[in-house]
Amino acid sequence: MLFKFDLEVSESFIDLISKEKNEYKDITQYRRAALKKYKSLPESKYIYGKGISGSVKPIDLTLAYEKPHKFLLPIVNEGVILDTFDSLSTTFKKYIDQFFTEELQNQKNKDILLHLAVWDQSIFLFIPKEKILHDPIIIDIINLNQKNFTNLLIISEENSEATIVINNKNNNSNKYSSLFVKLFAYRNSKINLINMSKFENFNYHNCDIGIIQNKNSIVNVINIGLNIEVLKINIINILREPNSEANIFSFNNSIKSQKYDLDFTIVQEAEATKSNMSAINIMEDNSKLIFKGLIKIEETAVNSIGYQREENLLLGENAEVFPIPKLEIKNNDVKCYHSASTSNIDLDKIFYLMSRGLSEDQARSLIIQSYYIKFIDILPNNQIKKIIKPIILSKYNEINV
Amino acid sequence: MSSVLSDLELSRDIFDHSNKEKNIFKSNPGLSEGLIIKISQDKNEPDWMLKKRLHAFRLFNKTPIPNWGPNLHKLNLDDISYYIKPDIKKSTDWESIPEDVKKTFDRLGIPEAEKKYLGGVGAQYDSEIIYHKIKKEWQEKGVIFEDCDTALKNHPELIKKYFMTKCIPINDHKFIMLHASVWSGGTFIYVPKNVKVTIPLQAYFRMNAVQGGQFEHTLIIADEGSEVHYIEGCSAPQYTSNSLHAGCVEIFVQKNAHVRYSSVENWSKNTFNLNTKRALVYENGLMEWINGNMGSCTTMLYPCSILLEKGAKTDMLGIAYAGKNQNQDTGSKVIHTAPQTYSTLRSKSISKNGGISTYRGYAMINKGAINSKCSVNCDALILDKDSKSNTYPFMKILENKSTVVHEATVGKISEEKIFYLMSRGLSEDQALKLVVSGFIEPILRELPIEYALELNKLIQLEMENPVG
Repeated sequence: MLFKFDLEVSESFIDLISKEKNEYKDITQYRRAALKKYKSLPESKYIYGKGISGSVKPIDLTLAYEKPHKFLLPIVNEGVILDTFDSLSTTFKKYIDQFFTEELQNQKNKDILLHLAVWDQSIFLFIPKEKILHDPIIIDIINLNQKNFTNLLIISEENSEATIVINNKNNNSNKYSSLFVKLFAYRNSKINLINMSKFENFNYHNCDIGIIQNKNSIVNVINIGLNIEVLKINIINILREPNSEANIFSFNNSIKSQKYDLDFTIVQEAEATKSNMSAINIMEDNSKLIFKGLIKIEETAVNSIGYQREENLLLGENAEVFPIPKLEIKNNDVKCYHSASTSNIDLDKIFYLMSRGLSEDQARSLIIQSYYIKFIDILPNNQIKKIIKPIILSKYNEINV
Repeated sequence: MSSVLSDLELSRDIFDHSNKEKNIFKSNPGLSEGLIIKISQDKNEPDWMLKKRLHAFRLFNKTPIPNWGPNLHKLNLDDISYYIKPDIKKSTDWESIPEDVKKTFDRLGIPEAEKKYLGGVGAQYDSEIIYHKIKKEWQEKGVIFEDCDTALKNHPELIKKYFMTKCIPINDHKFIMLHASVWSGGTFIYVPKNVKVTIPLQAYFRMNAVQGGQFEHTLIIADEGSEVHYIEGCSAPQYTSNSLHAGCVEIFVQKNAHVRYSSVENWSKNTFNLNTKRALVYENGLMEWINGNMGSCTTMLYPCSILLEKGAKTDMLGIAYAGKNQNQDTGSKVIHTAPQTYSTLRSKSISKNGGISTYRGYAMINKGAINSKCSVNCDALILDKDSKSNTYPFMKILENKSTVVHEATVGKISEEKIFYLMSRGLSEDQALKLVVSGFIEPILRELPIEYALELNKLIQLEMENPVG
């Protein structure tokens, strides 16, 4: 766990949060059940940096209720619901109940269970049937308190299409923020989920994303970590019905002594499913990265395709990288491929550019830039490219120029 | 046999056949300090070796069974006989070997191969080496090729210096601790400076006893500028109860030396093969590993090269076949610790009839290993819908002036290939076998022709005969 409370989390603390937030009774019960399950599970032996020298010291947090900063949720199209859990009408409360019931039943990750016990902010996004949203929905999650635990539940109904941008940010040091995103993509829905971690200074961010996909749905997750001290991202995408497609694109440029831990899993349970996991990581200075990618193709997922690719540019003298691209294939009617490469800038490329009149620094900088461009190129559609391009290119200028 | 490549008569019976046990001593199942003392006394070992064995045994008792990788719950360590001394006197002449045992090795083609293309042969039957001989030519050049027990008597200083010290220490893992406690037999090779052994040396390890354990130790020291190719073959008959093989191979590749180690492990389907193989490679040395794994119910084998000095190189080739009820958990490990070190790791696996094949590899570039390159490539072929294939490559890169590339593919044989071959007049079965032969060809190419044919044949045989 990336943080440590000064006191043990108790039921009375949970009740206090519920009381302060004036929650309805069921939610208090869910919190209590999550805490109970959290306490009953054995201690997870997660040590950041397993295999990488120098582990991360957990951030110290006070166990006290902090009133969350009021959300400024964007205005959305008619029919689309974007609100906090407790402001929902009875029609939509069933989704909240379903979300908690399923998580409490199936969740084995202790970090997520604790999150579900102590969460202080919640967002519910509902995209109704046949709704096609052309403009992205931008959700800013700004943490002004010492700690912040946010739940984001997204339901995209049949034939809906949307692009959702999550901006995780804050401006002060020594903050911990945790985000739990759950996305249900129903039949034929197309969702682009852009998750950006744009923090300043010394901050810890933990993000768990769980996705369940139904028939013919396409979900593209774009994960960008640009400036944060410690970042832990865990994505589990389950392709439950045939012809669904999951894509995860990840880009990180870490500097100084930043530590990133990325753990992506795509489980293909149904036939004719497709997955693509692509990551580009640029490691500078003393930064460290663990990248775990797993594509799991079950017996039932015949005629499926799995693709995993990871490129690491190891620039820093003391930068370290630990790539673990895994495949678990349980039937033979599949095409599965993965590759991972790690290297510094090829000297031949620098020589070539220098022979064309560039200085060594210019050549180096141009080659690094090509990795940024390469990431933009592999993104699946123009809408995503349009959003990502200015953000990461401005970051490039900030870091490298 | 309907195969298009049926130029070699081979049947699984050769390997599955068992002889009636005739032992001078067969330990009761289970392990005790008394048994370890008995093994050591029996072999008339020096004190330090007994101490080493007992130290390892104490560590073994304290260490839990590894909780990663294949499930080992069917392996009951208390049911295994750890020391089986057959009633055969060690010899340098096949004629003096008892008829039934000689027949076994005849069937496996060992004496024949010795005559034709080997520089020396060792044969181990359960816990003891029963035959060992090296051609005079190599003996005169100072090459030592002995069984490990004899080497301990003849060259105690060399053994003391290299045996389970620097390369594989006795506390490496649970099964190395077990190996160090009860090891018996195996091969010792020393190739003096600048001697190039141009024809291969071979040892064949055969387990015959029911519920037996074989723990042979292979120690190869290739001195500066020398060259040697060593081949190991392994098999065991088919019984209903489980047996255990926990061998250990230590190789020292000194400056400018070149060692090639080839092994075809074809244990019976009731054997747990938990083997450890490691090489230390010094300046400009080259270590080549060629491994074929096909028998045994569970294999955990990850040959390792540690590139210690500048310019050291390693090539690793592995092939694994997992049939019904088999779990082949194999892979390669390489650790780059010096500048300009290079490694190429290639692995191929085939799973059929519900078999599980897993590639579990580890590639590490340590700080300071500048301009080092490591390339890992694994391909898996799944021949039916019940079989599984996993790929778990672990990489750790601590040096930014290095390159590591990993690539893996998993899939079935494409229908177009089969269709093409069938349109040329082959049956579907023949086409399938031909494609599989092509898939493993890069590995076969590196083996001596007789071994390549045997391995190819074995794989075809396994494909034909799913009942194991």
